[in-house]
Amino acid sequence: MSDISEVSDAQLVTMIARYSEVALAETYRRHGGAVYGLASRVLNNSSEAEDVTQEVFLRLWNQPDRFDPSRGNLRSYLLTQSHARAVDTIRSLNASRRREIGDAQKTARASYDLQHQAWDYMLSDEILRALRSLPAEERRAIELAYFEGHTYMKVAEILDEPEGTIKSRIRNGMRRMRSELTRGGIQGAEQL
Amino acid sequence: MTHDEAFELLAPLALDALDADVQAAVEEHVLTCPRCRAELDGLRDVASAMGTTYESPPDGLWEKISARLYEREGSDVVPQLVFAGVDGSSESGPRRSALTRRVRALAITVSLAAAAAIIALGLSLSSANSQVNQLQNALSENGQSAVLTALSTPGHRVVTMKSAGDRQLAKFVLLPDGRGYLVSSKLPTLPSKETYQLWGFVNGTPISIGVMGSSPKQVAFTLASSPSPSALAVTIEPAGGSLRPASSLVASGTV
Repeated sequence: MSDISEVSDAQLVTMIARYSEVALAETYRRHGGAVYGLASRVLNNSSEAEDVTQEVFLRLWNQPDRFDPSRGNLRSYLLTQSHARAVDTIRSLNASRRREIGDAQKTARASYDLQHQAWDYMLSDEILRALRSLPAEERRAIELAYFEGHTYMKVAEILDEPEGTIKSRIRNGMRRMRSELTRGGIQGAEQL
Repeated sequence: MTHDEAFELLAPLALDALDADVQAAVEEHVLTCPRCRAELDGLRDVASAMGTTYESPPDGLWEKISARLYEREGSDVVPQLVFAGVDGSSESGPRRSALTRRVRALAITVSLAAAAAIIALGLSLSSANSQVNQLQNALSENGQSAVLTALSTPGHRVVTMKSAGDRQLAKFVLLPDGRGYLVSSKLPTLPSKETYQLWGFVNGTPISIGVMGSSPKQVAFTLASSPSPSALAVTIEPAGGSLRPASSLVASGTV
């Protein structure tokens, strides 16, 4: 292979299955920032985000066959792993650390519009358009679940709404976003 | 959980917003339901798109990952290694403790019986290594043709070597006359002070077949024992090989 940077993501995973460290390094170069960025956003802690990032790439190294290209692109797979591990971390934290994150989240909620502005600058136009297409209550429910790592039951508690309502808002909001992204030609995260 | 119940929970699942027990139940349904699987994949793409941003990872993070690539999985004395299929059974995660005990028991058996078993087979480690080396030289000259010939020989058997995590790491082909060859290998390169060593299990006792070097590409050997081994196993040993398996067992497969 003359230039590793020209190899497709799927080919990189095949090379990783043959213990190519170069392929893993290239995968990290392409997606490490996104994996770390999402973990950092959820955990609000660089050390814990580092741990999650390590876990994600070591899992890809040890179990490359877990990635099924027929079910989505590599970026999406790695971000799914990063998010799941970040949420696991939040839910396993001791009470004082949970309180610390909770305080940070309350502060963030208090300056919700400001946080939105900052976050929105980091998103692509397509994702931003899709998010903005959501009714505010749907976006709020999705963001509390996804970025703060709450179960939908906890989101219902925070927003003081019935669980069924929150479940519906999340479902409807996700489907609405999918329609928007599909309309904009975005099938998955890799094209961003 | 019914299809309708699971389908309703796919969006929260895509956001990792379910309790662990409910998540497990939905995931179990998804495994057998193509419609739910497709829906979940689509929703996960949406979640990932929403979570896609970029933040420069801290300096040195890649070096930390790189340094851990060849760590053993898990934390047991013999963490990632299972003699999967040694007794014909298929083993996996939940039975790791029992298996670890079994590996330890095997090690004890070896320490008591290794010398006698080696003599009974007439296959000392030094002679086995010499035999492997000679055959490897011959194999180098003939390239892969010996392997291809073996795979087309009537009565050949292919032994798939798997790790404890059920990952296929190597394949051997065995011929009725006792000759054997490495067909393919995903075994990672070891430091020069270590070597892979191939073992055959005869009546439950591991017998050294020979060392394979730190980066096995072409390996040939002859099994001189009777009865034939019921299983093969690969271990990591100090360069030069060992008389009995160390704790670093890598893969195994039923013959």
